[in-house]
Amino acid sequence: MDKYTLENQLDLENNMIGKRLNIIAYCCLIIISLASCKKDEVVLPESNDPIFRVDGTFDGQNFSLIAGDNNAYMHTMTETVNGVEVFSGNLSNGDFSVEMGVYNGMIDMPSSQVPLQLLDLNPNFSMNSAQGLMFLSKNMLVLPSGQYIEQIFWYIDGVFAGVNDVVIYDPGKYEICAEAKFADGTIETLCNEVIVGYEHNANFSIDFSIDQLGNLESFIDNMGYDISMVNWTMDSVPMSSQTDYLQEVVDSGSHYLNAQVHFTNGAVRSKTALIDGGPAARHIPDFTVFEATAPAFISRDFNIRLKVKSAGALYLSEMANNSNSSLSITGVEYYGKNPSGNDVYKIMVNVSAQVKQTVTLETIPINFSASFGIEIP
Amino acid sequence: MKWGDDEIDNLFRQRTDDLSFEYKNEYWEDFEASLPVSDVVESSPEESVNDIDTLYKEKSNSLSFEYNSSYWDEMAAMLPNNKKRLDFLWFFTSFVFVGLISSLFFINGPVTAEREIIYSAENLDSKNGTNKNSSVIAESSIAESNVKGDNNSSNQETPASQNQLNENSIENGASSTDNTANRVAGPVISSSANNVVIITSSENENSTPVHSENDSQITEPEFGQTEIASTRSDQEIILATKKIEMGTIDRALAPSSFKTLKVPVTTNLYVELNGGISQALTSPSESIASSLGLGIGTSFQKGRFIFTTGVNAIMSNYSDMLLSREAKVYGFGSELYRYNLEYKQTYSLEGVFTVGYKLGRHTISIGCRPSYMMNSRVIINQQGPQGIERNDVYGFMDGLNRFGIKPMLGYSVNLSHGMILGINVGAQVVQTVNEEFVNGQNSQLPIDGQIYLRKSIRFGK
Repeated sequence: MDKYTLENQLDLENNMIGKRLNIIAYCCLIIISLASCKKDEVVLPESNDPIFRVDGTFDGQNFSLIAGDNNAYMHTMTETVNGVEVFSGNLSNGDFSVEMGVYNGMIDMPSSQVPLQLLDLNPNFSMNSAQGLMFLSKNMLVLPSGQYIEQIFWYIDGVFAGVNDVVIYDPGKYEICAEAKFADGTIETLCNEVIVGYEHNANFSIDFSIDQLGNLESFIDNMGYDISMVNWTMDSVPMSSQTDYLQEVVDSGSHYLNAQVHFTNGAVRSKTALIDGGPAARHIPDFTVFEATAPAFISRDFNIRLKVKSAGALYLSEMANNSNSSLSITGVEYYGKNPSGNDVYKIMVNVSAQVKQTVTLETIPINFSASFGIEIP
Repeated sequence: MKWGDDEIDNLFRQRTDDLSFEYKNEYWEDFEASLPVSDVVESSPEESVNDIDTLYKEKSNSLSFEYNSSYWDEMAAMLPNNKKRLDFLWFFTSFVFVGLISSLFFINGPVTAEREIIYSAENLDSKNGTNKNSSVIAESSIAESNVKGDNNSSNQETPASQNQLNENSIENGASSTDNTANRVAGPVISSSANNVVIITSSENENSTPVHSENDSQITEPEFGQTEIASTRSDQEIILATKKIEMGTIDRALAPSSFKTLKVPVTTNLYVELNGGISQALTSPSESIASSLGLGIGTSFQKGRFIFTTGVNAIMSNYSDMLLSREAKVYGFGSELYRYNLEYKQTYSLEGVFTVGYKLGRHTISIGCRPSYMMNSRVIINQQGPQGIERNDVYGFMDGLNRFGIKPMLGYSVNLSHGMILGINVGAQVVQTVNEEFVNGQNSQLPIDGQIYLRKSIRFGK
């Protein structure tokens, strides 16, 4: 065998070996594919550290609540107090419970990001006011151009509150209705939303004038807040989208003129005035006058409310003077959905506060560090 | 630079092409005249050998020569200089491997080539015809001298070229000059006092001196600069190879005789079925694991050695790999989960790398089987807030280390129709179970046995 032939044979042999190696490689791939074809996704539960817990002292006694241990459970919910959401959580083992809630501070801004506001703020404990926060007076609703109102029955959130003059002490967002009895004996009712004890992110009032022929001219007094959109309605019928002006001919009789105003900062307010296109002139302005004249004693935006239950007794942090109470939020993070399907945030907080027994009015100190859950839907 | 077969072959061819030396006929005549027995030519080869043996013994008893270390330095300078640092791991691995293979030689006796070539005085004579007086071979009495040691050292570095020279002399064999020249393959030791020249070949342990009365000047093709002279009254002693065993001749003959010597290299494709049992992977356990698989691979044979590579798909069955665990998961409250995992089966790809030595129908082998666990079948019994669930799950690999390797020893016997029946015994040296995930601990070096039936498909020569 000469050299040339030998090399050819070696090449031939190498080619044959290469082909067989290819076959082997293909077989390997097939085997690997078959072996890998069926795989189930399995996630086994793993033990973890407690998520929610409160450790501290109450009236000098140590306590520890760990959600998941000793029947302790972290219940999260959103309460509504005087028309304002309180984003809350209650960690309880049945005998002892700690409940914390955060008052919504953006009640006139529907799309606000409350958790971000919580992270940015250094909240205070909510306070009670011994002084009136808003005065509802019949005389403040009598217009010079309108018929005299003899009497007003006040209803707050559907509950009768008083006649002619009423004082509101608790902060909230109330639906206030005035049942007015005019001098001619007719009775008309006007309802408006009123915010008490919270800062307004925006506000306005409806200014209007109407002559005896029923020619109406109405304006939006924006009080310095920028308006992005206005929707006028008359007796719930859309009338105009002009920013701040409406001119119509109003029939004789009483009518409800409503303006919903969207402000550029996201705040949305809606107010209604009672107008009469006839010579009876039964007019009632919106209740902006009450908000404008309310004393600013309290601003409850994003304040913290603390409730403690021990041995059947209830202790509250809301007092007229809680200057000795303080808290600091060290972190806010999203945790997940609660059984109700609402978002729950975990708040890391350190608390040093005084709580008052609701019956004996005894004040008890409480100090704790907590990883607490609150629902913010 | 490493000297492989190709480099040695090229060197040999280059040197043989440039081979030239001076030869004068009077050298031979002087050599014949110096022979003590006049009827050497007329005597039989056996008698000639005996006479030469006697002569050698007599002369060797009175032999003395001076060794100058500069000769060796000169020789060493001509050797290929390979200063590349040895990689210790490779060196060690090679050493172990070669040691194991070598042990097979000694256990089973000397390995002979399919074409065994033995050089002796007889066949030299018969081949060369007119060369009866050119070489007289006897047992060397100086094999134990210090010369031997030095020559051996040198020859370890240049066995191939020397053997090629020897081979060349045998194949060509046309003239006594060639033979004389070609036998001079090693370092030259000369004595100025008595003009004794000792020329050694590659196998000096068996080399024999050759008495010659001829003065000869020899150009050594391998080293080029060696010139040897001797006086008529002194003896020229040429230590030639008496017998070259296969282990030496194989490499030397490869370049020139490759065309005629057929070194059998056969390559086979095979498929196999295998099954086995192994000790439990975890302890304490009294159960054993079984396995079943099929594989494919190739084996090629060179001489008596069989090299096998392949891959097996293995399904292993277990009855003792359990995990009992509780998990308390905290959230708004907590949920307690109790679950048992029963690792029932694993599916692995297993490589096969063996070297075997064939003894007739029988083959013994060593090798290793690295493996990669591809899949598993696990029964999960879980008791949680939702009640009790039992799931048969594939692909759950938690608690299993995917990689493993098993050194092994094997034995196989060739059956008819290309069937091979064999067994392997190995031990898992990599812990394949994560102790944190199972009840118990890893077994130390669990031993497994595997029996396989292999069908060979020969596709090459």
